[in-house]
Amino acid sequence: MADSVYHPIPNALYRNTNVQFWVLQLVGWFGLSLVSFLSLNLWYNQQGGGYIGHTLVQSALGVLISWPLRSLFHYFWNDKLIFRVSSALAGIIGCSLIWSILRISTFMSMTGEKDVWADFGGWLFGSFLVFLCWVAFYHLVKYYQLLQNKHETILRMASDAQIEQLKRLQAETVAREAQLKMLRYQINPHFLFNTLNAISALVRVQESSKAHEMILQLSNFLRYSLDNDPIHKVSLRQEIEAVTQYLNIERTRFGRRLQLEFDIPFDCQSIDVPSLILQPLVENAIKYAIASEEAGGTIAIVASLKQDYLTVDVIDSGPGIDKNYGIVESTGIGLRNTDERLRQFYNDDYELRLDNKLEGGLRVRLRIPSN
Amino acid sequence: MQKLRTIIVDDEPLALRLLRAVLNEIANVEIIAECNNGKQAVEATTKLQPELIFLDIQMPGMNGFDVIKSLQTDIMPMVVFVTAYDQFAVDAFDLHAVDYVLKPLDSERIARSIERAVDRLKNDVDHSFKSPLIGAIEEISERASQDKFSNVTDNNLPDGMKRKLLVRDSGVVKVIPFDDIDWVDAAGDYMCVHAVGETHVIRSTLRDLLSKLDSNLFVRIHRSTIVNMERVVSVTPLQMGGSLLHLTQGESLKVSRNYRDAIKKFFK
Repeated sequence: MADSVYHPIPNALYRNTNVQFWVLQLVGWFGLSLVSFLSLNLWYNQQGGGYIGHTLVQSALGVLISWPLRSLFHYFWNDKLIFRVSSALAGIIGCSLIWSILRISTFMSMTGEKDVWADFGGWLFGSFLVFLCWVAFYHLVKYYQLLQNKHETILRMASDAQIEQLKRLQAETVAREAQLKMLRYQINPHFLFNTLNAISALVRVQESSKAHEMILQLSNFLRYSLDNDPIHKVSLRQEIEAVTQYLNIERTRFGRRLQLEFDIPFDCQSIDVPSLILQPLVENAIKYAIASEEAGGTIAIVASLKQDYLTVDVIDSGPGIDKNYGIVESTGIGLRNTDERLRQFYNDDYELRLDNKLEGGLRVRLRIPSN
Repeated sequence: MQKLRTIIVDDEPLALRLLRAVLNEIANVEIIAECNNGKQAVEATTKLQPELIFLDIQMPGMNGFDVIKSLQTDIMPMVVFVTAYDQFAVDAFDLHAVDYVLKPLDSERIARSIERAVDRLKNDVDHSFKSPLIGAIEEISERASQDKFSNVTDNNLPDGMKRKLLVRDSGVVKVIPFDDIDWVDAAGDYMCVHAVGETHVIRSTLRDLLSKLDSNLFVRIHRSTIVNMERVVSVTPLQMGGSLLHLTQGESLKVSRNYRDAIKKFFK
């Protein structure tokens, strides 16, 4: 909206076309009074109260009689030109006739002049010109307004288009960054080298089938990480499969220190989720609840579907978090990344929260729309 | 041929199996203990006094570095660090001539580290293995926290502060009253001050600290070790004349034969 600081009239009023119409009407018609006074009354030396009063009365009449013209034009506005022109002409003729009759009779009664009807032609001519001007002026103002509107609309559309493009570029950049971060994060060096060491161990102690299994799990997991575009969604079932690959590898490394539990009901399995969205959550659970605890612990993934929202909980039996530190301090990049990705997909329609469980441990809850 | 008595430490069972398998193939190595965590490593090392220890860095609870800080200088064995990946560690180890091997384990690399250990044992007179280790650890923590290493002295302290020690740790300056000190361990240019279960590394000399400490309370029990006698809970005599002091926090410190008189007066 234009800055209302420079206009004494409040913006809403200023821009209201109704108000504009009436203001112009009053200014126009009483402006006419003034002109009439200056050119006719003074010239013809008709300065009596009646004469002056009449100029005002005829303007008032003009205001009233021209009023229906507005509706007439609105009615025919979108019709073919021929209809508009002929209706306008008809309006002009009609109004000038009525106005002429009325102003002559009021003139005669207010000033006492006789035989004014003889000059009807002259008065009619004058009226005709006045209404012709009125119509012309009306259309002038109206078209000017329309032009301004169009102009504004074009500017706004251009700016909107620019904003959209900027958003798209930003989204692409974020996605690319996320993919890079994701790759780096997924190909966690500790995870990779420790896993290779474990495979080497299995080969050494001649448990070759286990070694083979682990090699397959690792390659499947790496393939999933590398192939998946973070902008894409996969079914929850696929996501859980990938996470399971990862967790199985970790289980081979940690032995009895890692216990796993899954609870994914059938109705949740086909719901789409952003790919690799659970990975950072599970890695955190491993880091804080399993790797750092001498006795190890349990990681559970539980899904549920309620009222068009899918809830996925990653629960560990670790030490939980110190709520005073908040998300960033205690779990770092992984959770921030997850939050960013969810915002990209779902704007504000998602939930990501951490809660310490009463019986000990941490629950990371993800809640997203199921469509 | 002298065998190197070795302890291996790793929290992952498979990693331990692999290291065991590789070392079993090397003639002059004898594995005397296997540990799953830092605490076990400290206990086993103090009790068995191996010549060599293969120490995993990433372990739950006490990690490899914590183990080094907790081991008394005077009984510190030669250490080979084992790491999967640590961006700052490898450079620091190279800088301070500390030996390390990377995961996945390479038999040749491990064989080479054994050769080095044998050499060092022959040439090293005073067995001061802890000093380069602490140097490397400090280097790593410095790089990790991007903090300037500062030389903290208390020469200009007001009288009220004189009975306290200033320690800088990850950008925070800590004040440790002398009374909180459990035991102190000198390693070359560094000192490990153990107070209330935490270990602080400062750059200072033992002589300097000794002069400030109350000699009635703080007793030297080994070449590089001072202990606060108030923290001693029990004593275990060892063969060859030395003994083992057990402290309130659970540590066990070796008293050398030469210093046993110093503690005798406490146990009259």
